[in-house]
Amino acid sequence: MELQGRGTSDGNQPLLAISDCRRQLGNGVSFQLDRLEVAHGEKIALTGPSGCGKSTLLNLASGLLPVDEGSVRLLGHDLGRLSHSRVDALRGRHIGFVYQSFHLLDPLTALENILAGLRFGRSKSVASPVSAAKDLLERVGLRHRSHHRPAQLSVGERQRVAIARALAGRPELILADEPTASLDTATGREVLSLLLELVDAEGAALLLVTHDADLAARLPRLFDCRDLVTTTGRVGK
Amino acid sequence: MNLLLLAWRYLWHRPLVSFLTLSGIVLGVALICSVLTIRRETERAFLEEAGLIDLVVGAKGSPLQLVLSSVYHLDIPTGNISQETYREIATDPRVHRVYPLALGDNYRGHRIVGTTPTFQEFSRRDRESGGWKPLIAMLAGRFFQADFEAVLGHEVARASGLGIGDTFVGTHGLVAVPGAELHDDFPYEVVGIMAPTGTSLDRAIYTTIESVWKVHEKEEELHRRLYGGGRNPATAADEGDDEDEEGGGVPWLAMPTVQDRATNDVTALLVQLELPGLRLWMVDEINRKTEAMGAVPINEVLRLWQRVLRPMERALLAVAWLVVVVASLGIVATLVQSAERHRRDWAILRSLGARRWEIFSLVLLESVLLTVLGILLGWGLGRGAIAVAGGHLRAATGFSVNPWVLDPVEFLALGTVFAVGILAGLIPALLAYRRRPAEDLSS
Repeated sequence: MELQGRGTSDGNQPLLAISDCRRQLGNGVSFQLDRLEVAHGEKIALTGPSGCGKSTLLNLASGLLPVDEGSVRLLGHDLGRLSHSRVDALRGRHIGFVYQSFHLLDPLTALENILAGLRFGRSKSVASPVSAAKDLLERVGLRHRSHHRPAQLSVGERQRVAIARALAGRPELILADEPTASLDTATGREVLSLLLELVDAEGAALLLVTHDADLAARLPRLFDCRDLVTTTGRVGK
Repeated sequence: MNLLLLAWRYLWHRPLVSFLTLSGIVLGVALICSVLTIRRETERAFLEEAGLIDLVVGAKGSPLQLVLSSVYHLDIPTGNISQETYREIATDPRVHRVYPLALGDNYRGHRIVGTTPTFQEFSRRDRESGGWKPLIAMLAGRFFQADFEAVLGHEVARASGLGIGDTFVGTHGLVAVPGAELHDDFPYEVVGIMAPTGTSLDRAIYTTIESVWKVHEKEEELHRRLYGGGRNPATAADEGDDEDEEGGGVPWLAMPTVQDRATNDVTALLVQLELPGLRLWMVDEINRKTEAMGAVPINEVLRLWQRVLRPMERALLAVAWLVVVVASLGIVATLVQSAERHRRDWAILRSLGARRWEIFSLVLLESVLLTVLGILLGWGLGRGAIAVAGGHLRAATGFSVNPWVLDPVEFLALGTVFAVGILAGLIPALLAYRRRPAEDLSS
């Protein structure tokens, strides 16, 4: 299976390029993907049933899960050939995550969660982290909740903080793993609209995992992941 | 947002567990600091005081008993010595000063010490100038001049509440015993209160030797009737009776150890020499040529320290270290549990770009914070406890304990506690370092 991006910023190099990728997941299950390219600013919906490999794809794309074979290139860097530390640095600087269960850091306030994103992302473009974090909270409509901890926020508010954190370092790629699955329909649509709006405004690319066909339809490209994980053979041509 | 702040936040995100872990370290450190400080200060005070007096001369018996009874007012005297021995030693050209002591009574447990008015000039050797510096100063009133005038050590004045012009009567014997005979016919008048010296001088009451003798004239008469005018039983026991010499009997409760008036015996002599190097020569001479026994206080105290107090101190320190080890295991348990509970958070941090060594450092910093906080609070608690206990120690021994003095041994001990805390943090830090974030994010 192959997915070609719409284009690249320099005309040649895609933002993300996965080729001949293979990863054993245990119990004879393996993940295989021959080729995937994501261009700068491209938005793709990844769909498919549970356990089909959507989240694994995001982990491989971000270097959180190393490949056994093949390559994952982020901005031309082959993650498999880099040290752990270098992969972490690339991920922090160029990728933002939004998760289904928000994955906010409970001991920290909303503002501090965003500051943590800036701190570990090591964004050099941000002169004043606190101002930048407050601006982001303003953009997601939560400036007044800056000093509240995740437990004090509604689920919709938590996801908006998570979106703000993902965008904190102005990354080129946002990986969103079912970001609306924990929200009711109305809040989910509202949060997705916010995510798409901010991703557009930042000019970032988006890989969005979702079960919701309606939500997926709001993105220009769809990618069906149902054949990525198999017990035998090789798929994805 | 730095790692230290993040570690702090995680530490206090589970306040009860952190507090309990911290408490273990605080108690261990407080115990270590207290034991080390009390050991150091007591040893310093004991040795300093022992060094004030070059020799103690008294009846033959245990040299340590002689020193403890005469210098520290902690034990019973070995007996009495004659005026002849007193004169012989006092006129020796190698002797700088001799202060005779006559013991026999107490006031509410504080010993009444008969001596001469020259005791006011009691001095300590000044190492810098090589001369002598007076040790005794008056806080109020004056030193005694006549019989039944009394000067109170600072601690006695504080504990008894007696002031200048007040009167009191002594109780027979050297320690307070319920029902002991009161010498109602011989009241003492307080004429002076000594400034604190930080020595056992603070725990005694000073008066003339003659006062002590007069108080015991009745007993001496009875004693002469019963025993035919010889030396008193306590002295006799020291000279021949093995049972009494070993403390089997308690003659000092029933009979004064003071002096047979007829022979003007004294209980002991505190001797200061022109040169400290003459101590052993003099002791040897006294032991060979006179009926008395000489003892060098500093030697006896060092022996006591090494044989009795040091093993006790080691046992206490062993307990303190055990507490620290248990507290360190508490750190390991707390942080391992924390690392397990927060594995999702460490994975989130990795997804945000945190390096593996930063996660390692974060967990280790929690241990560092717990340990440093435990050391600081434990040190403070230990000092506070010593400051409070210092009053009781001063009342019991006359020694002033300065809790705020730092010494290298304590720094070494605290450094070791710190190292143990860091080692305890390494295990959970390594566990966090080795985790795979993809698994923890999905679980």
